[in-house]
Amino acid sequence: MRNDNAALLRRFFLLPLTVGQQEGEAWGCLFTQNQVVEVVGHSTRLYPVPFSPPYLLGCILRHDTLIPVVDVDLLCGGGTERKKNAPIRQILVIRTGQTDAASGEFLRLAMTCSGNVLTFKLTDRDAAGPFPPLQAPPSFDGQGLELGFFQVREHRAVLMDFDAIVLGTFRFQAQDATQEKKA
Amino acid sequence: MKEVFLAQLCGFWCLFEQEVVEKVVDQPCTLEKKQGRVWLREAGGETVELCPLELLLNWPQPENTTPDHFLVLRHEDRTLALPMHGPGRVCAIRSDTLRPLPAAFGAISHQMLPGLLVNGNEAVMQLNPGELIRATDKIAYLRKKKLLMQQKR
Repeated sequence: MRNDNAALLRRFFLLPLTVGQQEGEAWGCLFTQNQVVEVVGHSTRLYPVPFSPPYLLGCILRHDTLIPVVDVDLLCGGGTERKKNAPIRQILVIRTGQTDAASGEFLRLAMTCSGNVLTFKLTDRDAAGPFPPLQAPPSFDGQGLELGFFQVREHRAVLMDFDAIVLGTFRFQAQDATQEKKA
Repeated sequence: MKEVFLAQLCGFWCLFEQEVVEKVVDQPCTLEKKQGRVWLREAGGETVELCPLELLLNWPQPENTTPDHFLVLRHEDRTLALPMHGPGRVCAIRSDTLRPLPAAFGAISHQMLPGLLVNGNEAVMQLNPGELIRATDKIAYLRKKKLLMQQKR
């Protein structure tokens, strides 16, 4: 028998962050199924780009396209909690809201994850919200990229806008990195 | 079509225009440190400044590999040696096949890495020899400054 509700389920992806761990909270960066292109394993070759900012780890080659690789955890201020040189377990390739002028395709970013990307489904009705807003964890510093903090089911999620990164107009404030070095 | 030289540096394939490639050194060489710079002395007595690739680009040398050749580049009146694995090779590419870095990367990265060649499922990075020399000079200046400060103490 066909499940009539199957077409109404929307999948969401949650990339775990280390911010909030000091306060005993588990946070994740939320992506919708429309944003996520694919999840690739750690065996994908990462090409490090010289003199790139600390949150840009390099680029990967997927389907003949060079995609910048972003350390979302570091971008959110999780660098001090994250183990140095923690291996990348998964890479989430997302499409942003910006398009390439020549091809018209959506520009992509690859988000690294040292844990496992969580997925869950919501019905169309539940996905429409509203979701209870939350206070940002004190250690969070999204550098102005955050859109909001929400409780989605049992998950604490932050929504972020990465368009400025893919366009090259984002300026990273390395305050946490400087403090880490001083410590 | 233009000729380029492919060299494996720190486990990554990189390309340079053939005009900037002076020679490939494959015989044993000795290293000398002077004034914050490291010099490569060939068996014939010639010296070339060695580029601290691992320090400059933050590309660690892959495990179980050691550079067994040196690629000597010439830019204007300067030469620079890059440690590479294997002898490298010359090939011809179409000029329009080089792609720029994505816009997410800053101007400095674009200057050092002006283009990439996608060859199947592998990317070959084009490095700018002029920028390599400039960055090597900067490292030498900082090393020299540190040495002077240490001597003053």
